[in-house]
Amino acid sequence: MPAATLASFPPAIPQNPYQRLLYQHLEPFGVRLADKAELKTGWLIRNRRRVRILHFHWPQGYYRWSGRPSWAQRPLSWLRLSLFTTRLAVARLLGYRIWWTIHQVFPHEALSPTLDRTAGTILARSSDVLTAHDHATVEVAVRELGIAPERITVVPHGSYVGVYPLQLDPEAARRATREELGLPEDAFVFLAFGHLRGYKEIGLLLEAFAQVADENARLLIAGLPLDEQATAATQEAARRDPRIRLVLEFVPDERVAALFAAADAAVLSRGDGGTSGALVLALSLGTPVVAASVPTSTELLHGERAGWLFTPGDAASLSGALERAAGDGTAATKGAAAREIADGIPWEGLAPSYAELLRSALAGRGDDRLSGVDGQVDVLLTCSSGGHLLQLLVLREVWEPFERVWVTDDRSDTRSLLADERVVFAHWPTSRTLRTLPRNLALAWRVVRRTRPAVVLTTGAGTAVPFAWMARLHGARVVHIETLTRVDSPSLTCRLIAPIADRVYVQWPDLADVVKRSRYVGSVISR
Amino acid sequence: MIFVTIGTSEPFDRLLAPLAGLEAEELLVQHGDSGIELQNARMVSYLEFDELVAAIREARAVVAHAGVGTILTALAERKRPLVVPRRREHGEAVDDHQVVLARRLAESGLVTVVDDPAELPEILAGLNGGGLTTAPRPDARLVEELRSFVVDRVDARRR
Repeated sequence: MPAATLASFPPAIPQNPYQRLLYQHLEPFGVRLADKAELKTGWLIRNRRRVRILHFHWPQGYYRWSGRPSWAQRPLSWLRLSLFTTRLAVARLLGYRIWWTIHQVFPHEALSPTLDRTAGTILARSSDVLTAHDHATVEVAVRELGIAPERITVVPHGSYVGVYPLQLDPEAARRATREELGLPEDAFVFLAFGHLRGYKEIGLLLEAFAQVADENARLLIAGLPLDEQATAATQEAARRDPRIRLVLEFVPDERVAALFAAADAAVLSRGDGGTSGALVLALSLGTPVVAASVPTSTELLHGERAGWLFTPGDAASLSGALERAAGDGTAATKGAAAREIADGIPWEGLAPSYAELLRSALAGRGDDRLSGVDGQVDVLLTCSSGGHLLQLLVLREVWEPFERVWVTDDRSDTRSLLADERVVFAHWPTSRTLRTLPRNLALAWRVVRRTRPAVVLTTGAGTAVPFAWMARLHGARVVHIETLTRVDSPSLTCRLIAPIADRVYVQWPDLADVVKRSRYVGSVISR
Repeated sequence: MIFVTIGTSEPFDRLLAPLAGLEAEELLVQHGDSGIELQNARMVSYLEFDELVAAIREARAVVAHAGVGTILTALAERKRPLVVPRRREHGEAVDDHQVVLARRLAESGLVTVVDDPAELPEILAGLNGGGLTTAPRPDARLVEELRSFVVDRVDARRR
C-alpha cells in the first residue's frame, strides 16, 4: 500500500500495549502514526495533506460529557455528539479515510444507551473501514447499529506473547510472587486482573468465590481501583475471607507476568462479551481462564479447551466453574492450550489484513472514481439510475454531438446503458439520506474542476443536486428537465435545482403554471 | 410468456395475488420484497437491467407497477404495458403519483391502466397483440430548444 500517516483516537499512549503493537506492526506497510492528533476542525484542516487515516478505537471520549453537575451530562453529551458528527463530516469532506475498530458497541459506564447507539451509528456510517476482533461484537454491531454484516471485517485481537517478559524463570517467579503475597505453594490461585470498575462484575465474583468450599483455593485481585463501591466491597470480602488477597494499585508492566506466573487460572467475571483484550492477555501468558459463556470467550477459548465456562451473571454457575478449575486437574493442560491459541494470533500475521483494508479504503474513494475522465467537456449529464436516466438517454440527439461526461449511480442499468460513455459513479444512496452528500460534494468539486463543463443537463433526482450546484459555482449553465412522474407538483430535486438553473423544463402543461420560470414544450415520450 | 414486474420499492401483493389464477401460460414474476409465492410462476426477486430488458422483449404481455423506469423500458421495446398504479392508501407508495402518471400516459395510449388487479387474468386472456408500431420519441420542440441552448453555450465558450 502507499505510505500513509494515521491518527489514532484516542491517541496511542506508551502505556497501552494494544495500540503500540498494532501500529508497530503496521509500520512495515507504510502506515506511520501521527504524533499528535486532535479531533477538531482546525486540526483536520491543517493536517489534511499530511494525515490520510483517522482511526477510532474508543470514541466515547469524543462525544460524552462527564463533568459536573451530573444532571447536565445528558444534554451536554448530546451537544458534544452533534459536534462530533460535524467533525466527522468535515473529515470526510476533507478526504480523510475513517477506520473504526469496534471494541465495544456499548462502552463501560454507559450514561445512555441511546447516546452510544446514536454515536455508534453515525461513526459506522462515516467509516470506510470497520473492524472488530470477534464475531460476537459484529453481531451486536449489526443488531444495534444497523451495519450491514459484510462491512465489518473480523481480525482477531493480536496476542501479547513476549510483551510482558518475566524477570525470572517461570517456576522461580511463581515461588517468589506467591511468597511475597503470602500465597501457599500448593494453593490453587485464581487471578482477577484489571481495573476495578464495575461493582456488578466484582460483586458476582466475590459472591461466587464465597461459595467455593475448597480451602485450598485462593483469589488474587489485582488492579487499579476506579470505583469506590467496588473497592469497598472487595476490601470487605477480603476481611471476611482470608483466602482473598488484594493488590489494589496500578500494576506496572514488569509485574504483570509475575502475577500471572503466580496464578493457576485467570478469572473474568464480566458477562457482557467485551473481554477480548483481557482474555488474550491471559492466554498469551499461558494461563487458562474461567470466563462467562458468551460468544467472545467461547470463540477465543475454543470452547473449554483453554478454560472453564459459566453462565453469565450466575454466581452459582461461576462458583461451580471455579470449583471445577481448582479440582479437575486440567489447569496445566489448559494452560498449554492457552499459549498455543495465543501463538496462533501473532500481530505479524494480522497486520497484512489491516494493510489490505486500508489500501483499498485509500484507493476506493475519491480519485479512482475519476479514472479515464480528464480534459474539458461541453456537457455534464447527471441523474439518478432508473427512470431519470432513461429520460436523459432518450434525449440523445441533444447531447450526442458534444464532448460529455456522465455522473450517475453505480447500478446495473447505468452500467449497461452507459457502457460506451464516460461515467463517474457518485456515492450512493442519495435519496432520503444526507449521508453521502459530503462525499458527493467533494466528488463534484473534483469532477467539475477537472472537466469544466459549459452546460449541465439533469433529470434529477438526489444524485444530480450536488453536481449541478457545484458546476453552477464554477460557471456552468444548468438545465433541469423535471421527471415525467411529476404531473401537478414539482419534485424536491426540482425545488433544489431551480434556483440555480437557467432553464427548467416540465413535461406536463399544468405543471408549468405551478413551477416559476419553467417551460413546457412537450415530453420525452410524445410519440 | 407473461412478464410481471413490481420494481424494487415496497412490496406490492395487491398486484401479484390475482395472478395465482392464471393457468395455461408461462409466467415470470419479479416480486421484489413481496413475500407471495405463486405456484404457477417462475419467481425472481430482482433482475439485472439486461435481464429485465430481455424479459420484456420476450414477453407477450408486460404487467407492471406504474414506475416510470419500467414503463419507459417497456415503451423502448415497443410494448404497451398493463400498469397497476401503486396507491398510498394501501401502503404501496409514499404518494399517489403513479395513479396520476398512469392515467396521463393512458390518455396518450402509451399504457393500459388496470385499477382492479382482480381483472388481470381476464384482461390477459383477452389481450391480443396491442404493441406499439414505433417506440415513442421525445417531442421535437423539446429536443430543439435543448440543443440550441447547449450549442449557444458551448459556442460562446469556444469563441
